Amino acid sequence: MPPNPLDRFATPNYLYTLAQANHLTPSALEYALRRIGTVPGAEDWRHFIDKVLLLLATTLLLAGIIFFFAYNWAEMHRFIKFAVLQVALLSMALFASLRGLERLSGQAALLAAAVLLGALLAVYGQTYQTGADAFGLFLTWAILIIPWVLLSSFAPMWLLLLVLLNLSLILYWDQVVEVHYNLPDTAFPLLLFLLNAIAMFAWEFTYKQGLSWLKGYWLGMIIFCIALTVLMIPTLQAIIEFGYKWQSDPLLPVAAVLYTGLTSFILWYYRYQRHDLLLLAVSLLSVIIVLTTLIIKMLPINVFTWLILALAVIGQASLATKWLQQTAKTWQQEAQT
Amino acid sequence: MTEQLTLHTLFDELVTQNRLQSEALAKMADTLSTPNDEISTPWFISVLIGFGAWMAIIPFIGFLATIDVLNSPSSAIVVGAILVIGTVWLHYFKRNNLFFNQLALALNLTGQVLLIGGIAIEAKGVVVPALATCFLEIALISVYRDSIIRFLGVIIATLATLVLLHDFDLPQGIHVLIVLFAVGAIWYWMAEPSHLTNKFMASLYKPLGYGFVIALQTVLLLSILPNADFIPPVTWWYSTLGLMVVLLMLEYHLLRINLMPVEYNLLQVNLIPSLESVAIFAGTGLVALLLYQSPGIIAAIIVLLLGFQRGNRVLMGLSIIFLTVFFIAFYYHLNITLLMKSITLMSAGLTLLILRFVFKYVFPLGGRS
Repeated sequence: MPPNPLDRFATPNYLYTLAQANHLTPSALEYALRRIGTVPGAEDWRHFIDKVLLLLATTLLLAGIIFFFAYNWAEMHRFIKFAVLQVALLSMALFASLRGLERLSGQAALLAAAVLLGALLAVYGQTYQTGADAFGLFLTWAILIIPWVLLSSFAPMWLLLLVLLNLSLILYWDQVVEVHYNLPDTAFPLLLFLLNAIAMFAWEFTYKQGLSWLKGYWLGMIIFCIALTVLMIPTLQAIIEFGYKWQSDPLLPVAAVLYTGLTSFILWYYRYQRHDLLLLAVSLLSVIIVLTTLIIKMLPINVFTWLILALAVIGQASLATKWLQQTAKTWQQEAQT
Repeated sequence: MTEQLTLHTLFDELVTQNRLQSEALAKMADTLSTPNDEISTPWFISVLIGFGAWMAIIPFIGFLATIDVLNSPSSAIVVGAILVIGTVWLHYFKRNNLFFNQLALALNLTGQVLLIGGIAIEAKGVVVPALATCFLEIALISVYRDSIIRFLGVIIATLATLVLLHDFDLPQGIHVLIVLFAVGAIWYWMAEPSHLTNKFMASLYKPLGYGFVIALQTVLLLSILPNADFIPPVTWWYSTLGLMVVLLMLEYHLLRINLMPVEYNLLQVNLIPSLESVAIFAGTGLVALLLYQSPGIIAAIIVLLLGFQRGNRVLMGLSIIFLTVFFIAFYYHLNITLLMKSITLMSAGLTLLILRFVFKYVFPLGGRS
């Protein structure tokens, strides 16, 4: 006997389906949505307003402090600048420690301390012109905040660390490698990919452990999109430059192979190991872009080239949509049995 | 935290409260046994479908140009009209076939580009093509039951209306458009339960609701491009004023529906006393006054509140993206020194912290937890 669909957990989608089929009145639907927590109650509103005000206030204050030191006020003695920043940094760190890192206010304070540390390093560089390259500032900043990041259990701290590491790599490439070494162009996006792929795997590993602070999910989504885009660029270049630049840049085929391997792995992993329809959709979108570029490269130029290309794009999008819908349905059925 | 309920438990509760007839349960089970693809298609799959259709437009036009069909504006108009009418027909008769649906979508968009482009070249002005675009989009929204076409219809019609306002030398008319979009977005999303149970609105409210939100924010992007030559001088604080009134009405409505313990007996806590309501309205007025040059921030706050009230993460995500863009633009364009910007930012941050303290400890919203 098939299981009764009413024994499923109540989700907004089921309720919307039933309302659309006129089984629920508007007031019954609204009540049900509130009951399952989709439509917020008074307590949810309280938390929401509290969170928004705190995060917005922290952002504005930090931006204000950064603007203040960017102004480079000449009348202000350097010791006062250092003192202001150090006192602010210490107060934030102390507040975070006293408040506890399990509370949002404590986490926000630690994030503020981490940003202020960067401002302190920048003022140091501004005051004592050492002539060092800018990548050194970002790398030092990133290294110094690592203990806080590890302690914080706060996704924005991890994002800050990743942004700093990416900036360090970009500036190092621009200021050191391009000036002193003659490496293939593709090495840079591949290195960027490597950095973000490591972050992606680390995130995926910790997400699978079910850590509550990673429930928000957006951090992984951002890292995933960055890593995939960074790898897609040399892959597209490899397709476009096939036969021209492959000898001078031996890393181009490496990028193409890496992309093929990675997307195959992603499609398998998020289909069978950890169900994630959004990441599957993002991967398929990138596959459509790469395959379309390949088709453009391979097609001979004649009257029907354009038509074949258009139909190929629609065919790929249809297949991808069908597969995603089928996958969602299968997961639903698996969850019900 | 909300407990996880089964549909059975939830509906039993509704039956007990006379919100549902017990005989309806069997029909509900039947309905859920045959899932509806249209409802269960998440937003990112719709984006994928839309992206595919957009990507196919250029090769389709390329093909038509190569076979020499588009040799004059009139032929572009004829081919465009045939494609638009043909795809409406194809959509009706092949609705369950995914490939034909996507083909129809791409050909329809191609047809629209050709039809509007052809009229624009033939008419040698912008009024006729802009009016034609508005009529075409309204017609397509009414007859073409596809979420992507309806969503894009709102955006394309908005752009056409902007062109008309520009050509009629009515730059201040943009404020009416902005307020109408905000009111429309609120109506579409706040009345979601009623729309879902209404046969006419059920398939219409989501694409139009998202369309109005995106159109609202897109139009307001003009407010952060003050030095662009193609934008006539617009007094943006008119929009801020209009949006502030809309925001105050939304806040009033949200406070009112959350103060109804009889209607929603989950919320039997004594909620927001009038003093807090006054504080919220005054805070809104103050924010609008400080940001009078940046209506985009007020609009993004409206969308954020709508998103949270409806439990809609897409709306919340959109509002956060636009809020970030408008905030950065606001401070970037302020014609003051970095020092003054810094003082403004820090004062705003401190004000918000004080406001949080007041709401948390002086007049706790919803009572102390």
